[in-house]
Amino acid sequence: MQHVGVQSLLKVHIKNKTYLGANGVETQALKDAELTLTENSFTVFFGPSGCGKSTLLRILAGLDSDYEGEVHWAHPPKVGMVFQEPRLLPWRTVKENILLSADPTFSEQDFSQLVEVMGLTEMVSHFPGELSLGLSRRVAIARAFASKPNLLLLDEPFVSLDAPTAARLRQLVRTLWVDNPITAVMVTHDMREAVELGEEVLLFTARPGSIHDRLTILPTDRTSEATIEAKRSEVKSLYPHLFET
Amino acid sequence: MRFLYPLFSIVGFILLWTIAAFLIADPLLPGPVEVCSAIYREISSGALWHHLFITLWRVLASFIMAMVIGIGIGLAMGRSHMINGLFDPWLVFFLNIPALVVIFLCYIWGGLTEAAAIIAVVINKVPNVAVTLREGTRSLNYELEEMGQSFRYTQWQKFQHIILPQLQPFIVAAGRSGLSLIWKIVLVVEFIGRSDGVGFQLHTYFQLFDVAAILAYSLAFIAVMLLIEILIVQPWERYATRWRAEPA
Repeated sequence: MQHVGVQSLLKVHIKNKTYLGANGVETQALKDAELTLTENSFTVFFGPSGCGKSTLLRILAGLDSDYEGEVHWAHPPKVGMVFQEPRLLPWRTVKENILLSADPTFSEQDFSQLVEVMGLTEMVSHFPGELSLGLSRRVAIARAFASKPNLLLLDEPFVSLDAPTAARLRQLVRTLWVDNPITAVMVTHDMREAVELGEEVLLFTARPGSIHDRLTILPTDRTSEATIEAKRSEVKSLYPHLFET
Repeated sequence: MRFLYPLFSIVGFILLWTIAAFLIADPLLPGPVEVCSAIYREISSGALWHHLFITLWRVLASFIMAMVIGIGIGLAMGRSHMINGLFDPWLVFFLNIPALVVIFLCYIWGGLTEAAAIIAVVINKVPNVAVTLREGTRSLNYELEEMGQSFRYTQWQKFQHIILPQLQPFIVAAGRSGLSLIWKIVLVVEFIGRSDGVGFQLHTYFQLFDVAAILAYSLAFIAVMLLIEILIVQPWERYATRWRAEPA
């Protein structure tokens, strides 16, 4: 049942998605994965490595169209993506990297505001090769927001960062998302990230992936470090098999 | 000190050359002074500029054509297995056909015309450019292209901002070797079938056994190519690679 005034942006039903491995063996990545994304919601795909959650994200991004099933959009898709690796153009400055993907209505003033919030003001004329991984990730996140997407996709955007940097970046994403509400999907295998950012967490089964269960994260679940940790432990005790050791 | 070594080397060579010319004392080995006076003679008669500019025009025209066609073929071959399969035997064929044969055939079938001369040079160079650019295209970063695709870059944006910067070192390499190969072939083409240009002048002075004039034209042309390298190729390369960290 849908609440009044809550509209769905996207309805997805992937009946079957296989891919051919390098050894020539066909692997089923997704089987009967079904979901609906409501406008301005923050959904998290959670599950162990290789469960097909990144594959589903790539299908939403329009990077993979080789599947059986349906992806139905309420509006024309406009995707802003943050990849696992920052994927910046090394031969363009930070500013050029952001502006190249920006929406036509993204003004010079919007740019100044965005880099200010992201703490990138000093870096705008630098090349990506001069930045740390944490800073490059910030640029990649800024680029995705500058494209003014109707669907923001985050593929493990905080992986391989040190804990304080990851925490700062999660806070930044949270701030940006609260200030510019957009439908967002994040892939992660870290329940702390899921609880801190997500409103709804979809738990994936192991390969072939499908959605095993869904959890609703209430704002009260992230009021403090202690509540986040409590929620994380609770989920972990309920679904120990979804956690990587 | 770094700048002094090449200087020592050049000055030493000129000294050796002067001494050898003085000892042998034969017009077939003119010294630097004779070569300089030949250069001066050709400059003041206007002949050197005339022939130099004609050759330079042919070099630039065939260079641009060979680069554009070669880059196009190389890109297509690097991207598509089918196109690679179709073109590959011909690439091997044209890589191995002697330059002289191509020149003869172009002149026989096209007449002793400017177009035939340029086409002969272009055919000689295109396969090298295509091979280099095919390798470049095969090494393109797929992840960046996906990034462009997910942000809905237009085809032109992808080419300009993602593909071209990655091909740039391959284009520079093909261009460098291309320029030096092309001007040598242009001289042969002029030698065989044109009535102007540096190659034609070399032909004339070869028949007269005028070694000083032959060296004069060669040095003048090498000087022009060096200027192109220093004034155009190197600054462009520096600009295009400014994003790379300085090599240690």
